[in-house]
Amino acid sequence: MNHSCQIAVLIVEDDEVHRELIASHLDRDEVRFEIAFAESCSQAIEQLASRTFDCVILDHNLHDGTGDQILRIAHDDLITTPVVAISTSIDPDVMITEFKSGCVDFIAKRDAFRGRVLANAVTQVVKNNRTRAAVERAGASVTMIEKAGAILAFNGDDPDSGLSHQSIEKNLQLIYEVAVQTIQDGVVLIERRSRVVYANPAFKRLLGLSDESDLPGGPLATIDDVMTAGAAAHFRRFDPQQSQFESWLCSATGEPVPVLIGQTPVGEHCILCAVSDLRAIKRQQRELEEKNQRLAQLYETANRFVDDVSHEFRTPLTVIKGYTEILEQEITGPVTDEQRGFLWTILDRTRDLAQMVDDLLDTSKVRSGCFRVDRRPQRLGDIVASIRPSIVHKALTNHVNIHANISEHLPLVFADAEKIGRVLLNLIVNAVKFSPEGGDVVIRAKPGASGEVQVDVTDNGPGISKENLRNIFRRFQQVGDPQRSSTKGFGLGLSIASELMAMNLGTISVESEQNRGSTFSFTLPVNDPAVVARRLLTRAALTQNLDDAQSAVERSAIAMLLVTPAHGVKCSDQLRSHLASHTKTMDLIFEAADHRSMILFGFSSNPERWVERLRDAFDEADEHPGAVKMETPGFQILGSWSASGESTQAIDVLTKRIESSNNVESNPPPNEMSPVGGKGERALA
Amino acid sequence: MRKKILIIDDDRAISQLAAIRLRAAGYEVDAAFDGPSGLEKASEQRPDAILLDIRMPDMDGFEVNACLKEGAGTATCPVVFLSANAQCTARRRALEVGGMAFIAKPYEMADVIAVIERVCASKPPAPVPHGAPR
Repeated sequence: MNHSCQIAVLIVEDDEVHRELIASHLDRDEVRFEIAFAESCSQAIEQLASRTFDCVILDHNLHDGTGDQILRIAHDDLITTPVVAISTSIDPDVMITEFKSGCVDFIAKRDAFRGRVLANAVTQVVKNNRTRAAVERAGASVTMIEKAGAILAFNGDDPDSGLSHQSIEKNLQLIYEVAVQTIQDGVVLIERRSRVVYANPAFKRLLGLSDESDLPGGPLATIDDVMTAGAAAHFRRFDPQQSQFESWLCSATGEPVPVLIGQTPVGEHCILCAVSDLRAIKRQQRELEEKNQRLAQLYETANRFVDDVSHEFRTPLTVIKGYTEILEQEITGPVTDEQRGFLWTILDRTRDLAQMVDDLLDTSKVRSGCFRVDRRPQRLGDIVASIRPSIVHKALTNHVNIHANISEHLPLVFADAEKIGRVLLNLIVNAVKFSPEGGDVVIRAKPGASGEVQVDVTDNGPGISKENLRNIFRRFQQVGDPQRSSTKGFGLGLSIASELMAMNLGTISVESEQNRGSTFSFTLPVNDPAVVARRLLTRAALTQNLDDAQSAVERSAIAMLLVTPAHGVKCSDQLRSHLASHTKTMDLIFEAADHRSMILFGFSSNPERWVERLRDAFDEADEHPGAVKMETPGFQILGSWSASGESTQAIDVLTKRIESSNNVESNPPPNEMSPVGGKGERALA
Repeated sequence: MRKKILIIDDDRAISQLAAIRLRAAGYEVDAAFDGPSGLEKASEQRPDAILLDIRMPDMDGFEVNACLKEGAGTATCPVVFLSANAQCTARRRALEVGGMAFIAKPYEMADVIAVIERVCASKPPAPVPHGAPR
């Protein structure tokens, strides 16, 4: 048998049967017990003097004396062998006597002969004793770490039990001391909020001192000697609720050292602190910040580059497209049918390129929050007509039929015509791209549910897989189709479309069936202030991050302003355009009942400040040289409401202010900024 | 009588393009390729509308516009700004300095013609009743 530990035991017992019994119970797998016997006190003393034992098992009652007598004699002879007393008696007095005279354990015989109780007890006693001896051998001349090593080395002998609990408990103080001496964090004990009564080596190192040197201020060092005034003040007004704080130490070189100080009161007068070095963390933090800054700069540069490049593409595109159109329309002379076909191809691909450039620019505008939205009452038929030139040739060159089915009695929508045109164009171009030759693309506009108009763009192309549908409105997502590599773009179109729809308080969605086709749909609110305002409120509640980065506080309140143009300004449209450029994406502009004033409906927790900001914007605009006098209009606060509880009241006031009449068939106000094409063509191609 | 349009844009290719288009639409068109000669032509010809590019060397569109507004014969001449810079600031400023419209390049020729038509129409746009259809 492989014994990892050998223990020499002297059994002092006058009863021969008991002697054998004791010997037979000294049995443990990993321990080899080397056993000697003594039958009397005198024999025992003799044996102990002649050689070394690890342990003595001592019967209490011997014929020439009691156990405690041997113990006393042994003690006088400086024999330090640990003694385990056993006795038939379980009289507590006997036990006390034995312990008093120096035995380390006491076991009743009836217990001692049960299983391995005796063997275990002896082994434990020996181990503890050896540990103690090792530590004492290490003594004061060696470091704590070596002492700890001695403990662990000995216990390592025992693969069965590892570190014994008893051993740890008996040496706990030593272990703590080792911990405090060796830990990388500083440990400081501060007395009466001022004097530093203890500092471990790590703390001294934090101050730039060697482990053995005294603190600045010597034995009478105070917190003012080792830390900044701010940190010292912390301890003077010690707050037991605050378990840690960041502060600075004063190092020997005068360089402040950033630290995290954890503090806990000890007794009435002391505070025990753990001080961790934050230099590395602070440095890493700084490096990370610098790196972030560099990345942000790079990102900015890359974005600007894309912007600039896209801009530079626009002008040559204008020229290519313009002259091709002139040739194609035979303004400068007749062309053959074959030539016309080639010109169409040029036009089609030029438009594709222009579309990609626009997408890139729009993406950067969305990113920079530079997208201004100018929502007004619009006819969907006009929006469809405005994009007509862009899609006619697309349909012809791709041999796809485009049908428009715009209901004539559609209500006006409240939208930014230019942006909705972009969305529609995007969807149609996509539909054409994925249509087979001779395929059909159908544009349908119809009244939708609850105050909205729905526009569908349907193709009979290959359809989109469920997997692709999930991500289709994300940036740079493309539906892979190896057969149509010529139709590749950047994958920006649909992500922009969904941004533009959100700005118009609309929605966008898609339904698709593979091998049957896809239908992209968007909805827009009708020109009903109550519907529009409710949509705005819903969107604000659903969106955490608004384009204008309005704070939650700002969004908690609704405000309404009446804007009256200065005397002499007749054209309400000009006022609307000015307001549109001075307001945020989430502010709504409605025409008031007098067709002259405007009503602003938006989020503002402080309407007075809102008015102030608008006035400033108008005043500033007048400072530009050569500006046409657009006199600052009058502003009147019509009220403010809580966005969560009083939105219904706010919307009531809004609708009362705006005279509602059913003007489905009337023309929308002329739009200064976005030219509108022909009116309501139905067949596009 | 045919309406007179003056195009001030340093990009000859684009100017010629717009000129061909506008002539085909029945306008009398002249073009200048820098600010000073544009101002000269404007005070000589008193056009019915000016298409003015914003980004030009030496003298940009806004400077030209300011001079036009000071000139006795050109102060009331409607100006339509053209720019490849469709940023909101350019657009906004174009409106603020009294531009009748702002057209982003690359423009659809149909758009230019539509805007010119509207600008040249002497009648101001009729007020439109506002309403909520249902």
